[in-house]
Amino acid sequence: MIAEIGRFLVALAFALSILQLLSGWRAASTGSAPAMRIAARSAYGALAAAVIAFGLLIILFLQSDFSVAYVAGHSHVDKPLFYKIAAAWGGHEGSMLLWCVMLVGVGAALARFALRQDEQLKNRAVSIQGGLQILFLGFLAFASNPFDRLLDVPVQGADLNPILQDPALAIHPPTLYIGYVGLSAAFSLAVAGLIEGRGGRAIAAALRPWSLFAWTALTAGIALGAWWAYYELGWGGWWFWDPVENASFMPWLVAAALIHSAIATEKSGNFAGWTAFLAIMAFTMSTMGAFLVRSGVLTSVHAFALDPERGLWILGIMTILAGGGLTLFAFRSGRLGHGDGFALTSREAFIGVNNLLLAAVAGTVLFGTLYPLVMTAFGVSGVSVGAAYFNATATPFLAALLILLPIAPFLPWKKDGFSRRLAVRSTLWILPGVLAGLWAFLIEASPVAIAAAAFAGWTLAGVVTDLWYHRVLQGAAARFSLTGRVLAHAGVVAVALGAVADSTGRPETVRALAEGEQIEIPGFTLTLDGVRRADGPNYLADEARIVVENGRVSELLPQRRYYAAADTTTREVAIRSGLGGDLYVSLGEPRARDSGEIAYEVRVTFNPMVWLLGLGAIMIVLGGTSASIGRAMSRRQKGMVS
Amino acid sequence: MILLAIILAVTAFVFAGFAVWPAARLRPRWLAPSILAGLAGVAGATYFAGAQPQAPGVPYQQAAAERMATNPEALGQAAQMERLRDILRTDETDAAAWAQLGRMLARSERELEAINAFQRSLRLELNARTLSDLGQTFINLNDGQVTDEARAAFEEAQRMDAALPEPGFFFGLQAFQSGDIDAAETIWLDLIARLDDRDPYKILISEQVFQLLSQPQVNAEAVEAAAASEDFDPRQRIADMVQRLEARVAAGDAGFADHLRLIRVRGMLGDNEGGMDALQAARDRFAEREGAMTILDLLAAALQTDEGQGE
Repeated sequence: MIAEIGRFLVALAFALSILQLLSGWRAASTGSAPAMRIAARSAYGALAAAVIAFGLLIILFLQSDFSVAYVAGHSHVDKPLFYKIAAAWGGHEGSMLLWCVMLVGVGAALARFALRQDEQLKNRAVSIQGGLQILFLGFLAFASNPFDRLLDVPVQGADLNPILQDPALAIHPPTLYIGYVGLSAAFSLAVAGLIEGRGGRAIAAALRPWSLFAWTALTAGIALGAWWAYYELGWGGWWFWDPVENASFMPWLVAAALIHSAIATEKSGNFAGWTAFLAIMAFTMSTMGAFLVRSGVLTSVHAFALDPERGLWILGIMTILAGGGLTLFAFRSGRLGHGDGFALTSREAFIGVNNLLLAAVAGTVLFGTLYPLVMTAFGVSGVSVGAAYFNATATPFLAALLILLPIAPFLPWKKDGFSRRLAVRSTLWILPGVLAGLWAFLIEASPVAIAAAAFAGWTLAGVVTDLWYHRVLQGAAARFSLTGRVLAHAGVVAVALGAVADSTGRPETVRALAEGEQIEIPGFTLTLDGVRRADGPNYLADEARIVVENGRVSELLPQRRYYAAADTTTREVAIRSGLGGDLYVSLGEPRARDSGEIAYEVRVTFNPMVWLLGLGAIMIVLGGTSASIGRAMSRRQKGMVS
Repeated sequence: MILLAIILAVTAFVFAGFAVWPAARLRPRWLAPSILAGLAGVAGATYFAGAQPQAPGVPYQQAAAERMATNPEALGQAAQMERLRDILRTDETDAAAWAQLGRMLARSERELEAINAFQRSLRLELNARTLSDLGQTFINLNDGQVTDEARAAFEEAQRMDAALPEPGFFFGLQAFQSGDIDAAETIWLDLIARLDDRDPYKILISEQVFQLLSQPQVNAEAVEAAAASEDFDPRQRIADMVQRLEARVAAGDAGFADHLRLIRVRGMLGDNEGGMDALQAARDRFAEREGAMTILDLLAAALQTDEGQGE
């Protein structure tokens, strides 16, 4: 019965979204107050229905009701409670329901919080959002329903993919989806603005907070995914330029461009068309990510529910979004206005270059990701684009971004601003740049990485100067905004330095060790003290006790797990973190030697300064959050004044 | 079904009513009810595309209770295993259930899980039969090779119950796999002689021993090399082998395995009469070895059955 109620609630959310579209449209066209209230109530109702449906799905997982196909395919009665809950979004149908919950959540938030001073634009946006909800809820209800039933009920579930049974990966998809789906608000507001013929400034002001929030969540989601890959996949990589990773990176880049371009548009009306275009593209790219993960067109470690039919649905949705949005853009962008213009060394000019570089990176990543697909469509199979392409094409653009990043905050809006003082200041930043480059040289980084480190040093000096120079800003809102900017920019520098350190030759040793035997990498001696059974509720495990000596003695406990229900073996690595980096140990297959002695494959790696990546990601997320708070405070103050 | 229909109707009314409420006092009067009906209609139509309101939910607790109330023999293999797991979820100290689960898992070729189940059982209660099953699962996991782990399990099993037939068989198999055919032969024939005639393992082990000892001893590389040559004639090679075996039997220096090979190859070539002659020669030679005579009696019965069918 629970499954049937859940199915009905999905249908109800779909029906309410239709009402939201129609009444929102009528409210925007006629100014009808009842229609406006119906649109808002439809949005709240759809949210309540979707949230309850999702809650019911979680209950079905907690009950291990294997009469529901999705539960049977992704759960097991012995799975720990946390992962029973996380399995609700661990597969295609459940994650699509979560996506829809967030989408209707954005619809309700638009109806509740957006644009109190411009009801017409708000109603149009709520209506457009209702349209998006119809597309995705329709897909959910008719082609990916998580409440579908099985007539032949299996005695046990197939379990969730073991590599997904991990705390970071349980949190990673919801966070990522907040980012993906949050960009739908920017899309709806941009489309609504184009329909209503609003100027660029109004649209930019409306979509800025939503974009900033979505981009922050997207950053957190991507960082969690990278962290998971680092410790779960067993060999210490954190970014693979995998098609699905790229699918999250592209909307991140576009959203990063959008939040910068929207600032300029709001300030001076410049880049109005470009801002609207980015808002449309950001959510379209998010949908493309969903298409790549769920259609089966690309092979990826992340891909799940490989179903061409479902892929066609999402392709259809993507076509409607991109086709509809861009057609509207083509016909209406002229009404957005041209702005006040700007000088070549104004802040707008630098934001423009920043946007060009971000768009160039997004373009090269898009090309590299889709190239194998296009070649396959032309009958050329076996084409793959690897990390070498992405590193070679994206790195120069990202380095250029790092160079320009610290200068922009010191430039005035519209006017020429490259003063003698700024020239002196930026000359002083060269010294930290040289020091960082020297550091990279000493740790034997590649020439590209040395250059990146030098640019990062330069940028960090600029960011610190930005904080020092603007410390006199008055008001909490301005301080939050400044803190946000500085944190986010410093976070980018930390990530760049972390990537530099990662690109150096990591010491790695792989050996078969029997009890009492040792393995060495520079600075560390590791002894396999013993292997014991450490079975969990739904897996069998061997756990090695490895004693580490490098002046002080500590122990690491890597595991090798066998998940019987999924018939899958995983490696649970053990990591000893320090300022210098991570000692990273994984336990592999046991093998009998000729003597009959059992030896385990032990892989030991030292990943230098990998913590910089985590620190950078945290700083960017905190920066985004701080900027969002600053923005909200500023709007409140403006509202009070007006 | 009726309860579900009531719940769905109330849900639809509450949600649609909430959304449409601002239109309640609008004119025309039919507007609000029409929107309400439209909403309910769209939701209902969407719901019925794939709904199965008649299918009951099957929460695991309920399914487990139904399994426990069912005669295990009436259940399929997967359900039987799950029934044992249900028992163990409520009582992890049931050694017999762990052992039984281990056997079922082993039969399903899920050796790693079976070994875990046997070990859980043995931690609770040492049992010769479970030890022997554990040993056999180790062997299955290692593609039929009798490993030291398996041998240790069999030794412990035999120490606990000397009458258990499996340890002896697998000790013989380990000797056979290491190339010591004579030692294997001795262990097996002594084991067969020791077993009671009514013990079903006696026939099973005898058949296995015959299959193993009568395997032709060939050098795989030499056969491969010969097969690659142009003048390779497989029938001629078999004839040569039969000739060599006959010569050894005639000279009286053939072992029991040689006799079995000769019987087998003649049987395979359809020469039942020749097979019976070879069998008689073996009987004459090994009349005093009870284990050998058991195997030969089985072969005689098999050859006579073949002959009867041929007539």
